[in-house]
Amino acid sequence: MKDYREVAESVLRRSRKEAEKRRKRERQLAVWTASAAAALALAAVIGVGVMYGKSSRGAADHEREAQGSSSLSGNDNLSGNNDLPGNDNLLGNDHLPDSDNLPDGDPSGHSPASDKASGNRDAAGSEEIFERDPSDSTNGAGNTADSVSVTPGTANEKNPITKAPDTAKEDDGPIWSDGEKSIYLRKKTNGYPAQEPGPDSAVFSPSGKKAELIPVEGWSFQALKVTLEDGTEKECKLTDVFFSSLNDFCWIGEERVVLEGHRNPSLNVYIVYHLEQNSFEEYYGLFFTWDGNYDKLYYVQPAPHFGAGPASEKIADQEETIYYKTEPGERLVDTLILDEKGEYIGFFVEADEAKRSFAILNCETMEILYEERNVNYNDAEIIVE
Amino acid sequence: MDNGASSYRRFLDGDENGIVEIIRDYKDGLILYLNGFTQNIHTAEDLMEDTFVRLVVKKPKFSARHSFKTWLYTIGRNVAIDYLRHSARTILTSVEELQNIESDEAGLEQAYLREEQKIMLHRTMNRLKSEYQQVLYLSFFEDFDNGQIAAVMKKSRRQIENLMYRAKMSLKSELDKEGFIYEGL
Repeated sequence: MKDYREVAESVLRRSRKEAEKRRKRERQLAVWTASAAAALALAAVIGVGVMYGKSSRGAADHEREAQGSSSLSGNDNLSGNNDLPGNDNLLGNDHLPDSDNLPDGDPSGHSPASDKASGNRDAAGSEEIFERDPSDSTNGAGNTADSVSVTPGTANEKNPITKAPDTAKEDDGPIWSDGEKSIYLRKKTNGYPAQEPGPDSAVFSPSGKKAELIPVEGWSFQALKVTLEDGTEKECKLTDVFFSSLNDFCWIGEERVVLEGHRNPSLNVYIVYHLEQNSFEEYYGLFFTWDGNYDKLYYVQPAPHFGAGPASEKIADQEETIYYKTEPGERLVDTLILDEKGEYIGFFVEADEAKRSFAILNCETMEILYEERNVNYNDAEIIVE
Repeated sequence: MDNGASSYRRFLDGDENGIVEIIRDYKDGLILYLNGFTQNIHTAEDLMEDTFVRLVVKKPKFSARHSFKTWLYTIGRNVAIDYLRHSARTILTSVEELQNIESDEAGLEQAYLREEQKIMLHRTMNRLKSEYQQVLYLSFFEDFDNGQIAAVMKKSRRQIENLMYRAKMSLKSELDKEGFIYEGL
């Protein structure tokens, strides 16, 4: 056993290391953000270049057709793409591109893509980023989770992911878009309608119905007692439902009461009580999350403790539909994030503490739409537009 | 003793001695409390350090809604639960380590609990369920009232009363086996 001075010394040393690690992580994030921005800019420049190439080829072909030429040497123009203005800018050249190098039909050498590329020139200079103050969230280098670098998804090859433009990070734009729909992550504002359990563990509906947990004589499970506005009482024994502490207890509207009990650090029990039927359903798992309309309940079915070997964890709904299954040994951690209609689920997967990623799943197709590593979007909600 | 709050304020103002004082005053009790989760005094010691590291790195706000000690133990509990969640599949203890654990635990008991009767009681408590250990430890050795225990263990007062009753019954039965009587029961 260490004495308190040794402990204090060790605590302070570890804290300094921890702080240093945090600073390093922030710097890395800044570099990754800059790299992603540069890569996106390059992709945009190449895309524009190809378009220019096509249009100039088309013009040349028309000319040749008019001249009755059968030559296919229009490919010559493709080589002009190597001299695209954006490439120069990405490499840090400050001079404007020579108009000689530009594809036909663009005498000014000015295009949105080249502007974008030159605008990202600073971000691509890693030296400058290292000199920035990592605690300064306004430096545009990406200290916040919202500006973490984007890694393209891997599991959706049939439906290729269109990455949101890099400027979206600064504008709080979509993190994913397929052209029709865009997904945004926003700080949560209209969360779960949790009510703090009072000293008697009683909670009230908006119209004043009271729900409380009462002991059942001779049994170690409890009963849910509901007192209606007119004083009528209903009682429902939570037979064989055991938990050690109450994490959540609240009404959903006027007809349902939900409560979440803690069983062990890896398992909670979730009860949904229906007032009209005076009956309840029970679910065992973690991260119980309703969609925005409180129609569908999603939760994580964790791997069993002390199992024979590494097992998978699953995302399920109240009908036991499995939406996602991790690789054996991987864990679903922290939370589930849902959009209002329950069409998309955001979740965190951790292979080990160093490998943590965030993904968005389409509940209908059960495909991963988006994946991003080393992020933390706690306390966020998904908005689909 | 609730100087923890003023020490913590001093620490937040930049005086490292503040945190050293907090560690001096609370480390032993925290280890014994966390031992209720881990059943391994060495792991509990590590978690105690983790608790203070969390305090130093994150500098959470102390609102004085509860006493500093209650607040600190709540952080310790969160650290322990995080640990159990992350390592639930890999807790392995060798026989040699078990022997070290026993001797270190005995040393800490001597230093912190001092009285032979309390040490005996603490050892008997170690045979009980984790939750019973926690509630009894906070009540008997840290003199927390039910409200404070409820805050640390994130339960309602009524649940703590029930838990305390069951824990005492269980402890009494264990003590009876040893022919030992504790007047606090």
